[in-house]
Amino acid sequence: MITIGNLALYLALATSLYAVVASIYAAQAHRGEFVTSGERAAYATWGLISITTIVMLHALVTNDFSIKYVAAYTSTTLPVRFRLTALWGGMEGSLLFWTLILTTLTSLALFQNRYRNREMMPYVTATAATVTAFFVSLLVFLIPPFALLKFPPAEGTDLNPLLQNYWMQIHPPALYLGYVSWTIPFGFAIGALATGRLDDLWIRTSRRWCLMAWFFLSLGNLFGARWAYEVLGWGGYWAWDPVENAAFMPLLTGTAYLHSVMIQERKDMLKVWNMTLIILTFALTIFGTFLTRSGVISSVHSFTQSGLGPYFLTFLAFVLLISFGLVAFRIRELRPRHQLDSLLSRESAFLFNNLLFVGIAFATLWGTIFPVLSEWVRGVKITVGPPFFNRVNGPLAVALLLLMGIGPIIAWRRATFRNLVGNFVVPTALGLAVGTAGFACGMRSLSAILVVSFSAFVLYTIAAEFHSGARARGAMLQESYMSAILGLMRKNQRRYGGYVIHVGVVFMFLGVTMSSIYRTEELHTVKKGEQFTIDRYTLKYMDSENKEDSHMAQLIATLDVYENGKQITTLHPEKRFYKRPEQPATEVDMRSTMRDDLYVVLGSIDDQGVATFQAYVNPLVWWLWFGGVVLVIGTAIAAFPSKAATLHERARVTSTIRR
Amino acid sequence: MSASRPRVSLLRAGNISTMKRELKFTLGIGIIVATVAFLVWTAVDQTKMYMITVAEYLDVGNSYAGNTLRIAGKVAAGTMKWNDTTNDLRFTLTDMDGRGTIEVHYRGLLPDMFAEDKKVVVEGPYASASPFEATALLTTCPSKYEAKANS
Repeated sequence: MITIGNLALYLALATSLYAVVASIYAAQAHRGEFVTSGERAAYATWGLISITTIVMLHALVTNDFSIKYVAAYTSTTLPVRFRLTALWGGMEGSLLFWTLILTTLTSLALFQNRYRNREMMPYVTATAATVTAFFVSLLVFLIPPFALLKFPPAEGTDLNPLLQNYWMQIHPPALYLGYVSWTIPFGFAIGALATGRLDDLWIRTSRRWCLMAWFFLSLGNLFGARWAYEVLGWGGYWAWDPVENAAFMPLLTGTAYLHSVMIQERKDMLKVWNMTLIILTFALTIFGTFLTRSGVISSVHSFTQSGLGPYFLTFLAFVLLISFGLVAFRIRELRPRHQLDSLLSRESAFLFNNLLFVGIAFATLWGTIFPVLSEWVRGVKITVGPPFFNRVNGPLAVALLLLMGIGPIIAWRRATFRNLVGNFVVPTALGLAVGTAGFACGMRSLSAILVVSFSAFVLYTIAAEFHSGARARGAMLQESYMSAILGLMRKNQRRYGGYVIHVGVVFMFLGVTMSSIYRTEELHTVKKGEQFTIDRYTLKYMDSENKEDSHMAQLIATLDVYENGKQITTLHPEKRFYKRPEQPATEVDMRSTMRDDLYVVLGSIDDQGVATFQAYVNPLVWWLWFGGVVLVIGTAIAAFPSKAATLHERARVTSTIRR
Repeated sequence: MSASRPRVSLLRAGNISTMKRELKFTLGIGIIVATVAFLVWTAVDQTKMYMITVAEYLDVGNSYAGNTLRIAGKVAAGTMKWNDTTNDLRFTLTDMDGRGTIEVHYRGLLPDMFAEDKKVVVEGPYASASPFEATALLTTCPSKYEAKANS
């Protein structure tokens, strides 16, 4: 079996390299048969990587401890579902999994475009195959996944207990899908640059890929936050750790890109900017894998120093050089045909939104690599923590929130005085009223007041968009209000799906702001039968219990929770001591409501049964997760294939040609 | 391809209102860029922490007076004292290369991954007195890529 796995992997290197060479030759020499040949090589790479992955999964499930990787990340007592997910539990497996996703998506993109965009496709194949070849060569030459142990142990080291968790089963696949999917739009961008087809064809073709990449990257970030919140037990969900930042930065530039392409489609502007954004987004995904695997930046998540760093940096430099080289080559053709008409216009709202996104991405990058930079420049290693990121990104994000409200209601081209008065008076008044109400209710944090006030502003403008659209449509088509709203979304999925996503983002803003500003945190040491109070909750420590099995020992506390003198629930925070590998772990227990989360961590229980608890009350954090759900719904509305959208698109294309 | 050739832009016509508009945009973009730069600059200044080793702390620690430090080292074997009623943690932090030690005190929950002989980073303001009062303990979180290093 192992021989088959290795053989398939070596062959995959050959086929992916052949795909690169054949496709570029085909495009340069206009040899159609080599286009097909290159594409077939890309399909073959996918097949071969699938075989490699199946061999690895088989080894993981059957506990073949002669393989170093299997011995390091599984054990005979590990449930089968975690043996499967051990595929992304370690470096070799995770890169193999990465390559599997990449080749699968490449094949899908090639199949989807088998009759379309034929001119551009060889470059898409070549780009994707180059990236594939890079990852496969890492697996072949540097971190062979099937490396053997001379003396296979009887039992494996087992998967880290913190990763034996539901969220860790779905977080990495979502994140990897998000990272890897950006390769396809990037490939189309390279195709457009190489062929000189610089109209919005490549953007329209790769739009759904971008949306998918953006969606999974968002989900990956959210799942990671949720995992940190539930499993790590420090009361929060985001720590601005380099690993988190690595996943956050491409999401920022990717979001900027999704917005700015609308300007290119509409106004034929910002072409260089859009190219830059898609290149940066792809580069940041490679940079992210570099950050998480090189050990260059020390992180709370520690990584093995793998020595892969220089290879990733070289590849990154290669990607940037080729991409920006092509942009420079086409720079004359990328010049805009129009100009922005007025500072007070929707176009400039988009422009400023883009600058803010990129600003946040830049600040995040700066803070992440600052230790390395300062060591180079000044010889001292200076690091910045969460306060840095909050201080910089907080104000920028609040400005973005405001723009999210302004964007949909300010007129295209040039906002007239009438447009401003007509659309802005009511939402602005509402925003001010909500802000004032917040202040009257005792809010004293400027950020919190701004966020609630802007949130009200944004939500009102979105509701107004739906309302006016539905009323107009209802009157015209004699439809009921509800069916008009549904029709509206069907007819213009992108716009209304986008609005729904905005609603989700507002909820997240509220959740993040309130839970970080108004969080209460208390440490209490209590005897059995004693109680303590946090915020409006009273917690009574009732009992403790010891449990032990072959897998772990558990220390479980029982707390009765009272609110206004009435018992509302019982919480059981735990301390676990895993046996293999030997490691303590915290099991948080919480009561989550729309208003706030009561989050309790058991610190320790001594011989007399005296227990220490760390309790948190995190207001509105529920809305962060709920905002994620809304975001999923919004993306589904925006991306769901429909006849109306296809017809609409066709009509649009025809009208573009006529123009 | 001829379709993508740029039309004569208004800018080249030298129109005054166009120039005014361009200026406005340059100003708007400039303000955002400057704001980002200003925020980054001041935030670095206000939140920076110096990452040093135990040996560096012992040698030139006083040059960091008034700053927050992150000192990396290892928890010396047999020195960890944990009082689970008062949540006081005391231990000796040794240099990774064995060049000196610092006494550390920390109050709070004992982090899961904190143990003797393990790498740890202590964070806190510089103080000339011993023990070093740590405001945070950064243990290496058992990330997925670490298991191999452990075994």
